[in-house]
Amino acid sequence: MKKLLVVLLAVLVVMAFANLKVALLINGTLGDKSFFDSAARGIKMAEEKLGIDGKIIEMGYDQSAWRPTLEDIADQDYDVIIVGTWQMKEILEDVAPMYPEKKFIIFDTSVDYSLGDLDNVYSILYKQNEGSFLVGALAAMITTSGMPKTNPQPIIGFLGGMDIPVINDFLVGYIEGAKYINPNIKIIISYAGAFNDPAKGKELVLAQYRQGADISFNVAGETGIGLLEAAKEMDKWAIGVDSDQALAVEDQDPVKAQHIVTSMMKNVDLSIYRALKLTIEGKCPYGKAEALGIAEKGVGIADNKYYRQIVPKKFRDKIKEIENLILEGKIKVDTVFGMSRKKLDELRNSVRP
Amino acid sequence: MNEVIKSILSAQFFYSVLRVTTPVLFAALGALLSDVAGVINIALEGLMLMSAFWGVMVSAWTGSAWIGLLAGVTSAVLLSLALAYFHLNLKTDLILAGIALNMFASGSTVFLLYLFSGDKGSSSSVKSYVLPNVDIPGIKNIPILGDILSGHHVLTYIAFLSVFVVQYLIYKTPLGLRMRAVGENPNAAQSVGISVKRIKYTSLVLSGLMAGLGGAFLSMGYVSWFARDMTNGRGFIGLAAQALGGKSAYGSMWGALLFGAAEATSYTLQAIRIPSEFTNMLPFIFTIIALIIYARAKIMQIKKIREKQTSHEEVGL
Amino acid sequence: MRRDRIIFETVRTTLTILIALLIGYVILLFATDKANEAFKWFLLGPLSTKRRIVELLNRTTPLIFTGLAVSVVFQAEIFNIGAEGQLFFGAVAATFAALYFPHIKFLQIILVMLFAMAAGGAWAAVPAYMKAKWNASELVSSLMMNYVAFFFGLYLVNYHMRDVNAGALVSYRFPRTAWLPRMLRRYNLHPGILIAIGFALLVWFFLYRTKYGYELRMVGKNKEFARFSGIKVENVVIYSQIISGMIAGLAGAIELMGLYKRFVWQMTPGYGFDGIIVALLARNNPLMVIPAALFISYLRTGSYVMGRMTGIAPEIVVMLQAIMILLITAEAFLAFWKRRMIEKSAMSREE
Repeated sequence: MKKLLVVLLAVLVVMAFANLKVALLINGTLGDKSFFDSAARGIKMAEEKLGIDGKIIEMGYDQSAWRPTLEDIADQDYDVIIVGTWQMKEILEDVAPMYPEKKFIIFDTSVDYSLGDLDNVYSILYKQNEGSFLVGALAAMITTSGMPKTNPQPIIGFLGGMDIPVINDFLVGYIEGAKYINPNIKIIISYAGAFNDPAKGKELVLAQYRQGADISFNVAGETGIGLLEAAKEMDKWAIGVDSDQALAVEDQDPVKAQHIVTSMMKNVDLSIYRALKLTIEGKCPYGKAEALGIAEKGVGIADNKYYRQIVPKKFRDKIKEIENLILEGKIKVDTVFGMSRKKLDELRNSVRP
Repeated sequence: MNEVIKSILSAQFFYSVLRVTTPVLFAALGALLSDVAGVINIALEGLMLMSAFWGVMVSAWTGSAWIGLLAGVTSAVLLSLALAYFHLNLKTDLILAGIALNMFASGSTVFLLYLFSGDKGSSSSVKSYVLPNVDIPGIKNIPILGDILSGHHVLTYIAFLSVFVVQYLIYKTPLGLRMRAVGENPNAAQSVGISVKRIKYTSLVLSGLMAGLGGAFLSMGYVSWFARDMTNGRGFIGLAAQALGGKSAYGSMWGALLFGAAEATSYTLQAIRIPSEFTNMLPFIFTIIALIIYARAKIMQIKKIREKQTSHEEVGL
Repeated sequence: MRRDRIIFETVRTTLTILIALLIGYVILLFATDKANEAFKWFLLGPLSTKRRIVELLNRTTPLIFTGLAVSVVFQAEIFNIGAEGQLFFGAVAATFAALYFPHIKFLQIILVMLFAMAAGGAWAAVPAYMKAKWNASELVSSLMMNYVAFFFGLYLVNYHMRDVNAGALVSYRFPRTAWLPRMLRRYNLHPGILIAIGFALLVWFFLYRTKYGYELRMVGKNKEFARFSGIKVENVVIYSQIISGMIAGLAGAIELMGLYKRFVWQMTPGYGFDGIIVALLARNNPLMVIPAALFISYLRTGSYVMGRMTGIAPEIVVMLQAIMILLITAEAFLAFWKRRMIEKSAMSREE
């Protein structure tokens, strides 16, 4: 009898969670072919494989709407509410304690748990510095390789959305990876100051290519669509970000896809899927932050057909080797979090052309 | 540092100045064409946005960039006609109607984008087409000059050719004469039998045509997609460039080039981490100074005329 | 006659709103097969929960301020459309004051507001002086000043007040002494709305009960006549714009202290241009600005609620606003009806 009850209860629990109601709030719009699109993919994946009941809400770029939207959604009967980026952090820190019965997930930043009352928030961080180390090394190899579309100068480019810690974490890894291959590498670093201005992204990268760069790393969300366009127009190389951008654009523009050597994948989709799966299993560590690196498949290099076609095998082997060294802990990639501003400036200046 | 100076003095830099200038130049010519007839076209921003949107959409549907261009320009002209109708027939205040049309363009393009493609940010998932770049045979092979002047987008050439066409139109044709007459003194123009309304309609349509070309350039050349509010103030900057250049098309061109050069410089200066906000701000300050200079000159002129009149009267007495 | 005019304007405004809403409904019919549901959220959403009412009130606050700012210059028939830049620059000044003025409870809030008002007023003084001294078009110069405010303000924030540890381009967080207090425990309602209503009363008093206000309105009605009757028109041109700029600047301070507690804008928030439609709906009457701002805020909140519930792009409301501006300002719209009404009242008087 008791056993039966336990079974019944288990069935009930499974049924209750079978249609976990999940809302993903995007503080921007979809269609960036990188960061937010990846998050949305995570929800779609969870709908298909976990049978959750998902809803994606685009909050747009009007900041005055973000907090009311989060509160409004928390008032409704969602079980899990997912937000992302630093810009939602302070809002969530304020709102989450009002809804102790709800679960919140925030990706790409962490709430400040020392504030207390945040036991219902799970924060996902990514070790983008590790993944960026790999593409930094790759870019440094390509720029002096004599491959088509390159010049002999050891100059590579970096386009950041904003001069902010998350983006600079990419940069630190990228610089260190490039220097690991070629200590004399020069990097042209530009920040667009916005994540939704592709036209500006394009101009900045055209200026980079004019100044001798032949490959540039896109870390700019929707702004980065402009980088891909610039690469096509000037016939240079690009490195994508967040999603596999070669595959993301090949349908509309196959020529553009052939200019993207690879993408530094920040697997927001997988991490959200994983968090939801753990939530259903009751194992998701709410009240804590987790940092996902290469080992946890939080970041990595896109090993697609373009990568295999464009990049010579010896380079790909080298990348594989570096990846293993990072996994074994033999290469320690610095992170911008906890790094002083002075040290960051020194690092940036050390590669200034 | 040296790299940056070299980069600013490079042929590619001047090439990019011309490219960045193109949409502003179209807007400035649009501002000029309506300004000479005494109409301040605040709606340029919205007209450009409209054209940028329909250019992309129609080119995606028809598979032809040229039909897209036609559709884009048509949409801008139609919106410009709406402005004329509200202002001239329904007596709406010109400035407020312009602001309303800008709002309308901003809201409707995003909404229609959502309707047609499901996206609210940009048309990056729509397969649209761009207009070609053109090499100029003779100039192409001249060393530095060729790099600067050849290989531009077809609309860039049209923009700079339009400068001469507009200048000719305003100062050498009967229509231009009438436009200027209406702009300077509508009552006097009316009294010699010029239909003020018809002239203002005409100049707003021409203004819309220019804005339409500028908008189409943005989404079908400058970049290859439509993004919400992608004009990003270029219509207003066109007004500024025209204000900077006075009532001549050449002046408007130099004004637009100043804004273009400032923008292009700011992209290059980013690399040595100089605040781009400064370079972006400078042309606007120049415009304000120019406004003061023009206004002062006008006051002097009026004073002189008055003095002349009073001295005549004294003689008469 | 005056009563007839009020009736006419009321009917015309109501009709305009109804036409705009009807157009909105028709657009929704094209956009979705759940048009009725969407329209219901749009119309009733803002009042459907307490939270949404709070959202409505918070969104009304800046619109009242910019509506007032625009009303003041429009009453003087001055086309200064620089409220956008004045608000932005006021917010930058508020950020400076919030970070560097002594952190004293209550007092600092007042100081921040005053400083923001001074900055907004100073910003408006430039086109004002240019107009008074050289008769330069305030329209173009105030537009240019918007861009200068934007770039210069961003420069100040991004290079001198920026929190480098924040994950976005924002200023340092304000100290607690520069936060507007929260009025309800569970709801993020700040007292900005009360300050705004207070200012509406103040501006009304200024315009209709003081000599300066009288002169301002006279200049607006007939500049030459005003000059003829001894009013110093140039002074009016200057102080009307400065007052307008001060109100707009204050709006920037209140938005930051009430909602964000930092400087957070990398784009201008657009309230300055919204103020124009508020002033139009209110016929430049400061007391009517309150319901007009509430109405625009209602539409906007409704569109956001609709967007949240149905996924439809909330930009539809921007189109409706544009249509309303066009119809309200179209003097010839319903003019035939106005003529008939005037004729009728004239006839009845003859009898």
